[in-house]
Amino acid sequence: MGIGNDRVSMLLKGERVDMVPVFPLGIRAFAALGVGYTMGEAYSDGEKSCRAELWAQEQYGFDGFPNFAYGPFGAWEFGGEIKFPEGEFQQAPMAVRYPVISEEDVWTLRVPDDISTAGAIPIGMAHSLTAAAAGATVMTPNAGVFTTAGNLCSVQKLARWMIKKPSLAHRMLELSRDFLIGMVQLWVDTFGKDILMYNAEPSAANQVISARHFEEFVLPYSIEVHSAALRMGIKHIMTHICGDQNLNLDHWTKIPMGDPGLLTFGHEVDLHTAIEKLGESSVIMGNVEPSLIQNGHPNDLYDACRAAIKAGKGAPRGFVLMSGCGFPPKTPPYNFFTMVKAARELGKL
Amino acid sequence: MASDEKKAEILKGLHDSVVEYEEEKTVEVANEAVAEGLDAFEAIMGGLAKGMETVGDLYVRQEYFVPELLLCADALYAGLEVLKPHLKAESHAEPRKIILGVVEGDIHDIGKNLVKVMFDAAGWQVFDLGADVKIERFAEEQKKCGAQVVGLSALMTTSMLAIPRIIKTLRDSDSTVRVLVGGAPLNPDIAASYGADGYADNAGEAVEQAMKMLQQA
Ligand code: B1M
Repeated sequence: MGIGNDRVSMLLKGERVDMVPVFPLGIRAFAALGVGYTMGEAYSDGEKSCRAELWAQEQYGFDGFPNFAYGPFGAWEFGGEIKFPEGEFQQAPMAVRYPVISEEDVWTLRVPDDISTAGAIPIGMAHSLTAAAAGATVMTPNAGVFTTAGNLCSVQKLARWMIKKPSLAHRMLELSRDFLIGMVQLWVDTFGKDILMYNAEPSAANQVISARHFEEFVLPYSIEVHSAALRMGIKHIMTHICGDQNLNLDHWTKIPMGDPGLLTFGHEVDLHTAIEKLGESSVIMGNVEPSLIQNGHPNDLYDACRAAIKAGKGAPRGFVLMSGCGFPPKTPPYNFFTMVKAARELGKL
Repeated sequence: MASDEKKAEILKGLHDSVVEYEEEKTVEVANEAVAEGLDAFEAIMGGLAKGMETVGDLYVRQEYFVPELLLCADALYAGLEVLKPHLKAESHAEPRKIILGVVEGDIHDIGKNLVKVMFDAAGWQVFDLGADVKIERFAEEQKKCGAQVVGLSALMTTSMLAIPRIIKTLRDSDSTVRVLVGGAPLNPDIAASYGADGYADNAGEAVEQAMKMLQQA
């Protein structure tokens, strides 16, 4: 067990790599469909989900490691309800009942007594056990403290409370922080400290909140969760800075990411800016637009990969070609191959 | 009857209290508008809706974000609740109707909710179907309420594939219905290729586009 031997793991260990690695973020649904599993199984069956990712890795020859994360993480774990994707147009679980409905609920909600049995945690654990058995780098499930808080009561309720009733918003964030620290501890207890913590913060995007609110409601809690993980001995934190976070970038520089961290960006953030602000301390990953990956002509996609590789190649701690957000499950296989091909042909180091 | 000066003061009060998301103040000024005999339609359009327009601009300029917008919307709705019962019969006549929903498989509903606010502010009757709406439901609801426009929101490349299917069921059921689409992965070209009548980049533009579509109809 430990950090694996793929090119992304090599960058984490400070080793030289021969080419820009490709690491499609959250490929489990695409991978599951590719081996004949259902979209639902990509989220509801940890072992199948991880196995499909490993098989896809073998088939397409990409780098990185399996990851089990999904947008509405936290809702089910705290006693709400989620629905797994089943229909033709779904790609991820969705919250159908939040654990917090009323203001009173905020004060009665508790972090689950036994995190190991809460919601999707056993599924995530089965996923990580499968990864570990295959010698791949293990990563915790999703741990974005603000996004998790939003998933407990709905982002819109959290947003209103941030202005009108900040004590309720802070309470949601404290609960989310304590839960996430407990979950990371569970992973360290099970797999040791040579694992990665994963964080994704879609709900903290500037499409949703301001940098001022990021500073008050995201920054301090993220520092606490990341610092706790690093104190447990984790060396690298992978963080998906989802969506348009241009106004938040200076705040992200204040959050410890390990040495180096792994930071992934959406297409809304310019890679040059990301490297300038965060490239000295983290490997930078990104940022091909998901809709181009799914719907674009292979030539246009190849060009977009060329632009990303050109912008990222010189990043001081390394660059990884990645989708700007969750890899679109309905991507034509040739388009994914195009990304791998672009890295092979244009990303030689 | 309020003097011109008083009227201007009330309209400004409604505008400002929406922009500053002061719900109680909005109710207070709306009550004052009623007490002063101001035309309710004018108070809504020249005060509350104007305020929401300013809010939309502040959002586009990244001075306001979703939390501020939601609270402005709360103030708007509180004001509407006071003023709507005082609308005269002729301003009630034939409100424009729109059905809004986030398509099947997609839970991203923040954008759709902001679009709804703008239509409410502009005096449309909005039938909000929520998020993760099954394909057939749009046509079923359109048949029931006779909305002239159906607005579809999709935030993911997977879920946006439901749009052409929804448009087909809508056209099969009523060839005159107009379809407006929006959401991050869409653009005017994709919208046109799906057979939509219009695309809007943001909530403010959505109302403009819908008005345009009706004029062309
Ligand atoms: C009818 O006419 C009209 C006209 C105009 C219309 C319109 C309709 N609808 C919208 N508009 C327009 O007007 C609005 C106001 O100006 C605007 O609406 P928007 O919705 O664009 O803007 C809102 C005001 C603010 N924007 C938002 O609320 C979306 C922000 C981002 C960061 C985002 C968020 C917050 C969330 N997410 Co998610 N999320 C992202 C988003 C990034 C992005 N680039 O959009 C996006 C949409 N998410 C993505 C993904 C992948 C996912 N998310 C997921 C979950 C979530 C959260 C729950 C955490 C949260 C949503 C909370 C909620 N209740 O809505 C998952 C899906 C859940 C599901 N089943 O639906 C999950 C699949 C992740 C996972 N693997 O679990 C990406 C989709 C990629 C793709 N192209 O397919 C994504 C684009 C991020 C990225 N950088 O690529 C305009 O688009």
